[in-house]
Amino acid sequence: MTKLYVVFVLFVLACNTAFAENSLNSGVDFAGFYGDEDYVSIATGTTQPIAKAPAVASVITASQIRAMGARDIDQVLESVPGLHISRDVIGYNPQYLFRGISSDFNPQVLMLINGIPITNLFQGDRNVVWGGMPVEAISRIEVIRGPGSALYGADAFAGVINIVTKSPDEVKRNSAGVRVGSFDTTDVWFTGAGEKGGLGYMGSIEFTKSDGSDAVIDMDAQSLLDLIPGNTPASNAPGSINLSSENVELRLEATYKKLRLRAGSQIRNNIGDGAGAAQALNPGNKFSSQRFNIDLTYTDEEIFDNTLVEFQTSYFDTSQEVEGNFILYPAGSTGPFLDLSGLPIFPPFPDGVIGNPEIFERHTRVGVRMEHSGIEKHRISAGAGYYDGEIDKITESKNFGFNPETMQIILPGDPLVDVSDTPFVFLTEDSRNNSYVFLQDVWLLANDWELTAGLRHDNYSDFGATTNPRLALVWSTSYKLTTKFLYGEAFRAPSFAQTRAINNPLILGNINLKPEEIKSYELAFDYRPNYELTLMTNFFYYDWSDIIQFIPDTNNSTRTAQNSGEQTGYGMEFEAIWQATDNFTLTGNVAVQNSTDETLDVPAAKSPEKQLYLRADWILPKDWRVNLRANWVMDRNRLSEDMRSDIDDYVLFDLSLRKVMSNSFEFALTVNNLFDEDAREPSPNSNPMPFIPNDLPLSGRALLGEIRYSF
Amino acid sequence: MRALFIALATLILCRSVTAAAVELVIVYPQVREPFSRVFEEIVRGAEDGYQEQVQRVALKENQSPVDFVHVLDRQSPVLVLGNRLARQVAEKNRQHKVIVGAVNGEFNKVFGISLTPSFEAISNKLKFLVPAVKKVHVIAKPGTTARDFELELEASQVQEYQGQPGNQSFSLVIHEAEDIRSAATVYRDLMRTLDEDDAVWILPNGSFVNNAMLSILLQESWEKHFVVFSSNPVHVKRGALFSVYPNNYKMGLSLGRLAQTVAGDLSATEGEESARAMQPLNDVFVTLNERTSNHLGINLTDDMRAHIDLVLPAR
Repeated sequence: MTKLYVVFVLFVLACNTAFAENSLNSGVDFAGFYGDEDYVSIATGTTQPIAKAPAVASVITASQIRAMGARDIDQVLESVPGLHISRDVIGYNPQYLFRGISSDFNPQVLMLINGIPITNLFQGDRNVVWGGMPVEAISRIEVIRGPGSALYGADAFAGVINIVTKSPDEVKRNSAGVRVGSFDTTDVWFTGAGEKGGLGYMGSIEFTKSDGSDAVIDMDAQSLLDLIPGNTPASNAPGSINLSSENVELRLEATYKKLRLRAGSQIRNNIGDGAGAAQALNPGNKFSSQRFNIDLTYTDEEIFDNTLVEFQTSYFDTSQEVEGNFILYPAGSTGPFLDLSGLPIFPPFPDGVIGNPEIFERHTRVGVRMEHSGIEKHRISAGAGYYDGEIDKITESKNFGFNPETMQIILPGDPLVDVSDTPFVFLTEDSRNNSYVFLQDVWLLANDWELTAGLRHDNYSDFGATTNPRLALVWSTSYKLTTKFLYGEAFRAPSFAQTRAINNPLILGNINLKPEEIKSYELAFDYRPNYELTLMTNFFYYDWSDIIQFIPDTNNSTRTAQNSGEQTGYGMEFEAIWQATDNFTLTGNVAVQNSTDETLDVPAAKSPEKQLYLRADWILPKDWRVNLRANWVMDRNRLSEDMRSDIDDYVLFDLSLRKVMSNSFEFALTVNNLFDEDAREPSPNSNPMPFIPNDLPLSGRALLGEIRYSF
Repeated sequence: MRALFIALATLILCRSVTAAAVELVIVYPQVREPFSRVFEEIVRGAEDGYQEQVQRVALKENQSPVDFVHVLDRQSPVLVLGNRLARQVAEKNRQHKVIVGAVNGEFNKVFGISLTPSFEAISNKLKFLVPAVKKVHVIAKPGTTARDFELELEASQVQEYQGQPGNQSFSLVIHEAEDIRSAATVYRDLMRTLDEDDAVWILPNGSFVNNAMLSILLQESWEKHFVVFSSNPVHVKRGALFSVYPNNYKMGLSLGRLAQTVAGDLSATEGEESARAMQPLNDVFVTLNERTSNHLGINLTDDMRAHIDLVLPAR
């Protein structure tokens, strides 16, 4: 109650403040000539006008990101209605949960950087060693809720997150900044751009370093093993989650005439493993990942009349590496190797149970797209492309399992055995290719009716062909109201971990898997009763089928991946943007979803059934700006066999204060989790009980100070 | 600090070096982004438009061009941008080669280009986008005549002016209103009579349109399919069909050229007030609301799109 009271007082203060003119605005009474600030930004090339896809979409701009004081995309994405960011045990990797769709590694969400997927073949996620993504080079983030395979192909399933980086035009002044704060966080960045003889260039580099979090796990998988009679306690719990990171994020772009070359790198070092790959804390575990991407785009509007032609080729190289040894269970642990009576098979492993899996992937894409507007009332786009993805190197060394040279069991105390390039490695090196064609027409049916119809056919070397349509009918119902009817289908490509995993004592891949499929129906309204208020709401229903799950094998203790699950869901999202005064904006959204695991006929687990998000942004006298956010996460179900009581709801408040000191200097102070709330994301269940019973605690209060200099 | 340095350097230069007589000093305010870019683009244009040497001086809020650049002591031209700075020199510059830019319509008897778009610039866009419009209605202060619009129109009635035949032109109907209250009545009566051949033009001073009135007007225009266009681009965001906004670089070019003319013109320093007049803005970009154009059934061909600088996409 106190928290809400404080927020209420701040709100009242905001509404009552007599706003003096800010010093840096004076002398600029442009409004009647340039429109509002958005217009000025667009007119000066700072931002581009954004044409939203005919879908339920959100766009978050660089200025909104800055106002939030965010240092990672996840803080920004939480503001999208119907999207909640949960955490995986490994690395506390983000799980972008749209509308009740969740799974172990979250491959049902497609993340793109400048329209190019960064999906990994191994698990279908962004990388096991993700390490977050800083925001300084980002121009905007576009989020589409619902399926989009007709346009984006595989994995545009529950939602699409497209991160668009700044172009040379947008960066008209160089800037540098530094941020320091709680948990030994230090960020430094520089962004610069220029133009010479028709060549535009932009470069951005960010170094971020942090210990990540002060959250403590009180019991882990090793705590359970420690309970076995005769075992000596070995657990590191209670202990801090391991969330260190040292990141380098590089973005380069050059434009010359009709060509655009972009390159980027995400170097991730000293990345902590969160609560552990085996759900056992090991503070010394460190991963690293080296990711490089480059793409070249040629756009021409002069080859054919009324036609835009675009060629694009791209290359993406990514790795998952281990720094030193990766300890699954700590020193002194007997490991998870138990006999039928539940007693350890082996004596304690003096250095712990160690497994060092490393994966190296390459992705190459080439595509052509045409957009033709020569036929009256039609805008037709068509394209084709080819993708080749390969896990070209897998290495593994470990101190348990079989030794391929001796064909003996590796015993505690034995040295590490390299099983790379042997049949005993965890995954086979393999590749996959895909060719596709798509066609889309935006047809102005009548004055206020626009129909978008699209179809994409994909042919994969490993699991075959799939065709996905989408239909969007947009009706400008009245001056104030727009109505959209949407239908879409999508597919999710099985990951290599699901198709090619071998030698795992518990789970096995299945090369015969089909893609997961989803069909979705949406009805959306955009209503603007007056110029200060925008109201958007949508109702959705989806049917997610052929869900890949690991099903127990009949003759064995293993489980094998099968297309066996089905989930349906319905719900609504409501969003309001209220520009109360020139200096005060209140944004809020509510999302409600109800999803059912159809195979067991029980409520789907993990995703919040209700979410409420509020953001107040006000500009105060003397160039101060305050941004206050509240994120309320409610009603997350447990899996049906999980005996734990329901996980507590939480509300997190974040506050940012920003002061423009001069045209060159800006200072900001951000407090995340203002009231030090004990917020938790669900930990996985296991039999007979969860390894981390008290869920995954999120970070407590964190304070960050920031200075920016533009020149 | 840099501005101060330049200002001091300029001060020393202009007092001691008479050879710098043709140098143009451009004085503009330091403002925050994105507004600062507006000035940067204008300055860049002015530099390209002025053939000789150019000095930039960015002044902080508490700095006056009168003190810092000593505009009143100068023989060479000074281009002053923005209302605040222009106000500080406009009253005192009668004898000097001062040009003002990026200002509103409050200035007169000054060399300069205001941000107010010329009527010609905007009416040309209407003819291009909706040639079918036959009558354009404006609501203006009593006493406003067609001459104030500087359009090629001929008077046909007391308040209705006919365009030249064959020029895809329209007639202009001026409706008088004293204040926002009487304007509301005028709008209400007017809206009853409008149909697809009509257009309402919201003038730069707002034509007595507040948000409530605008909402009613646009709602009515949606239902009756008449065109609303405006001299204010914000109205396009709200549903007006189109508007214009300044092309900063080209406006800068024009200001630079104007400065060049003023620099070479002896009469400019000899107090011939008749020569001093503000020009309306002709260097404009067009912005259009696609939702409204779709509703009105305007088929935007690629050729038409090429003439529209900013299309606000449908929701």
